[in-house]
Amino acid sequence: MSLTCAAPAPARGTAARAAYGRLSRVTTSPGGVPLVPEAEEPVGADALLARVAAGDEDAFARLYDLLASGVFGTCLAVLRDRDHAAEVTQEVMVEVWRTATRFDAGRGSARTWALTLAHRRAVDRVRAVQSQRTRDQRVLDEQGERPFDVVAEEVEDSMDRERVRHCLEGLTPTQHEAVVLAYYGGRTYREVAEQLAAPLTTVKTRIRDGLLRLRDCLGVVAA
Amino acid sequence: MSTDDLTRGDGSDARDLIGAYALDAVDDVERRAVERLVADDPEAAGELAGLRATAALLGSAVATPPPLELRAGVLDAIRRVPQAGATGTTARTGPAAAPAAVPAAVPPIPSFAVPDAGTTATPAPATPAPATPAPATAPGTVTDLSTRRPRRTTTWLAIAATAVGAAAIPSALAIQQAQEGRRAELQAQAVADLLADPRAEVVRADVEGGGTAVGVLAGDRALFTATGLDEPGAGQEYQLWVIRDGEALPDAVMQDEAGAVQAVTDGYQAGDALAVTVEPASGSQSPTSEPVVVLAPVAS
Repeated sequence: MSLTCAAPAPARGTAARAAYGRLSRVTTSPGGVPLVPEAEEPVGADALLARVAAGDEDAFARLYDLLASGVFGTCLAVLRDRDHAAEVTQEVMVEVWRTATRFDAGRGSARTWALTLAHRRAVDRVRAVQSQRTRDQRVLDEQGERPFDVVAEEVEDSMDRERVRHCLEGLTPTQHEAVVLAYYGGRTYREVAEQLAAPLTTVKTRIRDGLLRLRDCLGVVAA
Repeated sequence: MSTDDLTRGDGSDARDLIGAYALDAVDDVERRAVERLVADDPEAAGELAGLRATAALLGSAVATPPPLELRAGVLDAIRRVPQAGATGTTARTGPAAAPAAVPAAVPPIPSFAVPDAGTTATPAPATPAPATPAPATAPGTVTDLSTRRPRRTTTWLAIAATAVGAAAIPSALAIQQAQEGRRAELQAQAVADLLADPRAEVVRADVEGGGTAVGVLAGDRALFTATGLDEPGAGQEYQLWVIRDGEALPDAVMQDEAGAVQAVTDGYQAGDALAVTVEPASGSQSPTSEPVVVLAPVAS
């Protein structure tokens, strides 16, 4: 059964302004340390998301323009298929719209939120649609490659790309491999361990240590 | 599978999985373990926030313009999708809209969102009351969200009245179901007493998000049991409410054990309904999410 009532109209007017003011204060509060370096546009996306949470469709269109490339690129890296990636991008952006009201700005930037969502949905999709056999075959196909480089060649240049490439090169080869297979390959750490014939605990550690090193290299400010 | 055995047996801590979690490289069981950890441990939550932002930069690094036509499609789609927790047209009333176009199979990212009832079909906190604190907090801290979530004055009477899923069912079957759901610590005598009450009514209903609830509603007490429930989510538990005259009276916070909960309440009076919401584990004084199930007496 459904206990929820029919859809009311989105918030408008004073409620919208109130929500905007409230969220704006939060994002600029002294404790509001941005998680992403200021070279990005976290303030822009965060402020827009606050307006989106108040039902502002124009703000959503601008937020789409800021985030869609990152969302689509993330999905494409994992799914390797533009049609699938476009579908998941649409799902993700609609979910951004729908759940903007729940976004907790204290826990990360709007961009991080959207890209986290994108990666999660892409991984869900890839795990749902690909049989283990197919995935094993893909693993075989990719052995010896460095998937990030393959992915990166397919995309346009960006500042983030260069920074990330630089910092990925700062990882040990085994950290690099584990992080890239897990993130861009959409694999579980267990699958990564199988592929690399490495113990599970070792792979967990490589992923965590690799990410921590990346975090420091990229200048991500931890909360 | 041997790898599963390895994982379960290696004594690994959820903390070791934070990195893999940030890359979505864990299974569902591990995912929940990490979510429980970060709900209780600010240090772990801080580490996750940093690693997640790092992972997002891995995504930004491969940013690719999507097909141009996607923009129009998305902008068109959102006009038909109500926002979770969007305010109704009538001020401070009414539960918010359920998602229309988004499948309910899409769970939120828990540690990013203000905790909710655990199912996507359940809306987020709706109407910000005038004195509502902001639904956000300083980074890296995990605080009791119940104190700063928007308080809603949900029209509980209306909800109870529309508990159409609750239906009287044949007693023998109902009793069997109730007993299936009851726990060892529940006094069998209490159940027997309840069922001996001539006013007792047995009702059952499906639980939003999965599971079945069975209640025995008697004259001055009631038994609530449910089985097959989803986990309530990190730092959250199922809480029972007695719905009387449209008001939700706080009752027991029920420990979820293997998807089953139960409680006997003396706060019940004939004609009341029972409802269950997902609340912070400490319990709430008024509901902060939509009920996942309502059991209303059918006869009265």
